Amino acid sequence: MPVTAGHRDAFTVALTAQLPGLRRYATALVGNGAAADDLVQDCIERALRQAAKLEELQRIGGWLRSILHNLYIDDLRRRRRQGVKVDLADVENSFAVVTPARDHASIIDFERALATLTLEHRQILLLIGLEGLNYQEVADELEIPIGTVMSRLARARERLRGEMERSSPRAPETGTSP
Amino acid sequence: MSDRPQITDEELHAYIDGELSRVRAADITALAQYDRELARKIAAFRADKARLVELYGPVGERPVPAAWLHTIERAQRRSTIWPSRQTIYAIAASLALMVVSMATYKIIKPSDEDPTVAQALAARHESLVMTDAAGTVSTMEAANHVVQDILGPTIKTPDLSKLGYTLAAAHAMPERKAVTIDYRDGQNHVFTVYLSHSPGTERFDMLKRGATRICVWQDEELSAVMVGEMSAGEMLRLATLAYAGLTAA
Repeated sequence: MPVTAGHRDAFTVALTAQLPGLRRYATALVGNGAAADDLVQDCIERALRQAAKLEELQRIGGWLRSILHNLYIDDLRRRRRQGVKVDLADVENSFAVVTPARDHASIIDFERALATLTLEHRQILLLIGLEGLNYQEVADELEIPIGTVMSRLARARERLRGEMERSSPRAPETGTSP
Repeated sequence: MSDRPQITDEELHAYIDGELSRVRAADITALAQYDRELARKIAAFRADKARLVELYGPVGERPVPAAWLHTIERAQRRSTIWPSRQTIYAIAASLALMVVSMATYKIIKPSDEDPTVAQALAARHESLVMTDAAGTVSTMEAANHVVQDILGPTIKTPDLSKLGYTLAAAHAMPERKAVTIDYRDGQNHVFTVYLSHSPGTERFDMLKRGATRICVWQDEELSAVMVGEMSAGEMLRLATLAYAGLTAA
């Protein structure tokens, strides 16, 4: 797509409109509000540099998430190379404590459980559970078959539940109509 | 229990996400009524899914850091200050044309109002006072016909329900080769999209007239002027959804 003045303006408007959702996704992916904000800032800068690569403006949400995801992987690799140990204390001291919650302990359990999942599993849980994408949209965004979306999602949810039950073996909720 | 339908993990999660066929979903609903373990699993997975939204959903409601908006503004300014040679020629040509047009326009109509915006505001006013006029429709299907009759088969009526706005009326203005589409939200706020053929230039502008925000967004083929009494942020969200939703699949 040629980047003309009109397209550039349309692009920046669409980018601005995506920021709240991108921040939500980044916070859930990273589990740390401040780190998520830094990641979104880097994502904005890269998106502005690479605006010409976005072929359809409607797909800007998925495009931004994929930039953010790549930046996060780069950051994890860099930190690993530098020997920075990322442990769960970081998570406990981050988002959960600044979140007003009825049941603080269960929020921390949930965040801790989410943080133990692989990035691939967290990604699929968030795209469907938080961002509300349907299976086909996720398949398109991740460029994987819909069957892979389904099996990956099932494994991710099973692992999350397993972690939750391991960390707080209290009686699970029942009574919700199926 | 060998006569029970086998449920794979994938099917169970597709059921939770509403992605399963109606028939298969009914099987699982029936099964969960007497299989307590299955009902417990479904409830637990649903609770985990709801927890994600409960925990992180509010992050998306917070105002975004000003630094992000500054980064975008700076990038926009840079591209305005250092345009490509091709853009400089285009700007020079546009300026020359603008000088000629403004001179002509001021002779015809001694007002500094942008004609595209003035037409859209007049159409919005007409549309809001003439809700029962001939050519007014209020269903998405009928609105699509009106839009396509006037603007061509590649254009469709945007669906703004994601942002809480539903179609109130679409009004054909054949003499102007334009369509006005009004949407209303739960508090009866009106958001109007005025569609017409583009004069052929790309344009994006966000304007304010009193409490009214106006977003002009046009490409070489279509001009969309969006009007509503709302914040800049809300206008940006609605305008983006509306503009993206104008293209028929």
